[in-house]
Amino acid sequence: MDNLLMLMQGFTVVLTVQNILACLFGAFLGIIVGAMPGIGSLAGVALLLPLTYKFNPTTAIIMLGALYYSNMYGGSYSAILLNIPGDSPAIMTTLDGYPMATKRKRPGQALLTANMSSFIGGTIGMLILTFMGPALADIGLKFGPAEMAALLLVAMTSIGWLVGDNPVKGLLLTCLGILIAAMGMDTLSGVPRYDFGNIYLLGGVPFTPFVIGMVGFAQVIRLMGDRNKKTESKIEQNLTIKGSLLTLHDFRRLLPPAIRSGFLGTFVGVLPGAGATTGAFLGYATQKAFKNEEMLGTGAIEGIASCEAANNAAAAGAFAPLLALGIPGSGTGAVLLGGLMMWGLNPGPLLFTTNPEFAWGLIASLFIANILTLIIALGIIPFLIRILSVPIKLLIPIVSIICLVGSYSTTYSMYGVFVMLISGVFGYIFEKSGYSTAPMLLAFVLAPLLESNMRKAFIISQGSMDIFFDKPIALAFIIVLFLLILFPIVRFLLTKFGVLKKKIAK
Amino acid sequence: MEKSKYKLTFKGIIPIFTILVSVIFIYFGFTKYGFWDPMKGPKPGFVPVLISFLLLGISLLALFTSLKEEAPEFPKDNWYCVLGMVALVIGSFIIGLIPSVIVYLLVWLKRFEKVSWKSTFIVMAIVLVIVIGVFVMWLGIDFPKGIILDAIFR
Repeated sequence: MDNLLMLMQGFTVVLTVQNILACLFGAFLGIIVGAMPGIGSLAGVALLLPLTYKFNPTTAIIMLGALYYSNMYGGSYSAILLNIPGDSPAIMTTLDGYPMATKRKRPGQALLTANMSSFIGGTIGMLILTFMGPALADIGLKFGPAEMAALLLVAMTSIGWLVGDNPVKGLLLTCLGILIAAMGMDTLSGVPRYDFGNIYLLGGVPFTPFVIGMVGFAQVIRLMGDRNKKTESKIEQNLTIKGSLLTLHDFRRLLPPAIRSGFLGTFVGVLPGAGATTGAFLGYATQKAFKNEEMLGTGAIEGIASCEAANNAAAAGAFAPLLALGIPGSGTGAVLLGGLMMWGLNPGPLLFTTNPEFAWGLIASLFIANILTLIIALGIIPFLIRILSVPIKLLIPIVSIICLVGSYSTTYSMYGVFVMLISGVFGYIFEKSGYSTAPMLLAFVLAPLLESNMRKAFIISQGSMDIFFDKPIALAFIIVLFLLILFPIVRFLLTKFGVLKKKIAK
Repeated sequence: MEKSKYKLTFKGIIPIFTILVSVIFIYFGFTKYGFWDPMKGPKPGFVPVLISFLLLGISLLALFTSLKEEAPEFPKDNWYCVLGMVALVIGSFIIGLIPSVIVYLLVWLKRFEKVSWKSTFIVMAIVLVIVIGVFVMWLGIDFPKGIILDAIFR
């Protein structure tokens, strides 16, 4: 009951003209960015970071939260109309979305099924977040430095493990991210370190240009290869709002899978490293076990509803560990966390008690973003084909210049631009070589928290490692950590000595 | 002679790079920033050194696993946007950032991409609204004016 009262107070924070407009702007941009194949929520949130400097922290994070959340809606559009997922959570949507749009000739209904399911899944996720967020924070309050350090290590390791095909590569970039974050001033002692005599590095590697380069500019370099590709839709009929409306029978079909996936997706979203993509995969896989009016993969409403509800629910659920423990579940979550830290807010167990108006305002804003996004999603239907047909070769110079001016504006010098360019080139090389950069972003953001907790733990224990093994919660996290680290090593050794069969690349 | 199936590809270059990074961090961590103080506990080099040792181990493992992997391709075309951005940065120092953006767009869209004047002007209008409208007028960012304008107005 207290939580609902606090949520109501959150609505009073959000319901100002500035916050509503910021939420609307974020939701609109999120849908557009999500719809355009190739940009994605991570790059979208990163590119928007500099625009939020004008706002107060609450308004800024409301805009970014709305952008991140509405991106999940937009990702499904290109999946349904072009058979190209706008972002990774929409991969599963292509399986039924595109056949429903082309073979069954119901593109509008496919879009509306995705929108309605996203709305239902997201609402379930937000309701669970309302109760789970403070409960997680209560558990987090019992954590000392040892538990927190162990939990952070698990979070950092697990994302490296879950993202990409090779956990070793994820772990490698996780460590590299921690070391890059270590450059600059040591936050505990105030001693400059790893600056290599460079005056700019005294302040460390700036967060925003680093992220813009690593995800935004790296994406531009990747897109160069696709710039002459034509994205033409095979949809013959005109898309109109009236022609896209669902029948009562359609709605009855989408409701059960959307509700089921809403619950499933939320709990997947809470797990560090899992996120919306895993949620969508699991939602779709679970739906296979249930009765469907049409076979999944042939344009079934149930197929679209299950994955779309799950990915939006996961996006909402991911806010629970982010706000309550300060641990993001994905690369996009890491950028949001970095943004919060930039504005002087420290997400964690104390956030709900020290900054309740912010924490509850953000949760309330997600509810509003959900409604606004649904309205925008409906209104945008007639223009979708045109939006999706914007040639990539025109997008490249636009995004490049946003990367440049965004990086400059955060440091007021070309230093930010150099950081963006260098990290962009590295980001492209890493991704092309099969190294996902999401673990590095997460590690970069969480590294200061990890270091301070680790050092505090060792100061308390006077240098003894026992502090990580004496406390049951810390011990449990350490066991999980060792399993996560040892598994790839054991698998490598077993494969090397022929116990496990080698995967043959086709 | 049979070609060796073990070859150092670009994927192998990344672990070698991270091995070098970890060695540098370990060296400076121990010699310059300190690892442990018997009275005060961990010193500034403590966490970086621990992580560097972990990175060293993982990099060696990644190096071994990379030996049999196929090298990724980095098409020449993909690097043109990096060159374009470098040219834009150099242009910013000389004629200022906003004029450089205009020249960059004209050259990129008309000469490189060969798109129509209509598309060029639409893209330019969008970019200028973002750069001037949002960044200069709304956020109040003062972009570099370049050495020529600086010299004139000094």
